[in-house]
Amino acid sequence: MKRFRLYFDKEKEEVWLNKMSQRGWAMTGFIAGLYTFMPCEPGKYIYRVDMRGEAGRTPIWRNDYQEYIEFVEETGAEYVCRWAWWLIFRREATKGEFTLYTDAESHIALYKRIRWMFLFFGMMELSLALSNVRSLLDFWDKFGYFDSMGFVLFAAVLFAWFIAVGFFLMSLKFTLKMRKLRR
Amino acid sequence: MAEKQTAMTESVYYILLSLGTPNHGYGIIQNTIELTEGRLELGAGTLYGALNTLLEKGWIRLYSEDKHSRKKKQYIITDEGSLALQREMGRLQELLENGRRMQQQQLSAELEEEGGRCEERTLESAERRAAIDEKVQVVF
Repeated sequence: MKRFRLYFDKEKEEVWLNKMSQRGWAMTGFIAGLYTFMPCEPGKYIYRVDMRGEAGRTPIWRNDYQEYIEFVEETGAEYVCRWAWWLIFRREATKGEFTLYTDAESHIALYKRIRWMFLFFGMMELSLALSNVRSLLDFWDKFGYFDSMGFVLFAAVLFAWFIAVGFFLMSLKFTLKMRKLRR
Repeated sequence: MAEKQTAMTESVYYILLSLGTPNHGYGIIQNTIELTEGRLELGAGTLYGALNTLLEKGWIRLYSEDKHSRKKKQYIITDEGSLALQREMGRLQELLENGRRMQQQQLSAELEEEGGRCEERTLESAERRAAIDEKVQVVF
């Protein structure tokens, strides 16, 4: 079974994956928002979503998580798949509660990585959005009106702003989560 | 590194305790579960990060690595790590001793107060004192 979903919050994604597992669908793959599920005994697995990269420092395509994956697998978990810096693990529920981060310090470090990723892409998107506004103004200067081409451009600009704002909101969300943990 | 002594996290403390003898990741998790009677189960992400930080600090070192499987890297505590652990234990002991001392003071104040009342109500007092003595014995 395939399902298309876009999650920006890994905790909500975890809740959904675990709910699917409860209903007898075990997630086995992910590509660009498309999740693959296989039938399983209801509630067989507990899923955890992990993030290991540092935006701007770790290339997205870098493939040296092998050591980490083996380390996690040693604890009885199973590596499901990877998407850029995101790693998904699962463990049979019969083996007990499955959590990757068990103290506030490491949990905060995880949130910091995620927050930095959103900030980083938010800034990139913002610079794109700004340059888009510029080309929009150029368009207006040149033609004095917006034709269908102009509206496509306009939509692109709006979209870039929308994403930039979304990313900044997400980084804000993870800041709040961190603050909650600190307390 | 630890010029200014700060409290160790529970995870770091138990990792160091588990590395008195060479141990690998899963062994550390098992050992910690045993020592805390199941209260603390270190997550793999937490443990992996902490081991790397401790390696950087020089508190632990790689003991052996099975080149064929790459699994089961073993770690062991260094002298510097032992020293840090010793310091932390000293700090914890101070916390505990101070806590106990304060409790003792409060209890003996309570005891004196009760003793004052005893003179008025001698019959009840014997029982009360016994109860308080019992309490003291339980606490200490």
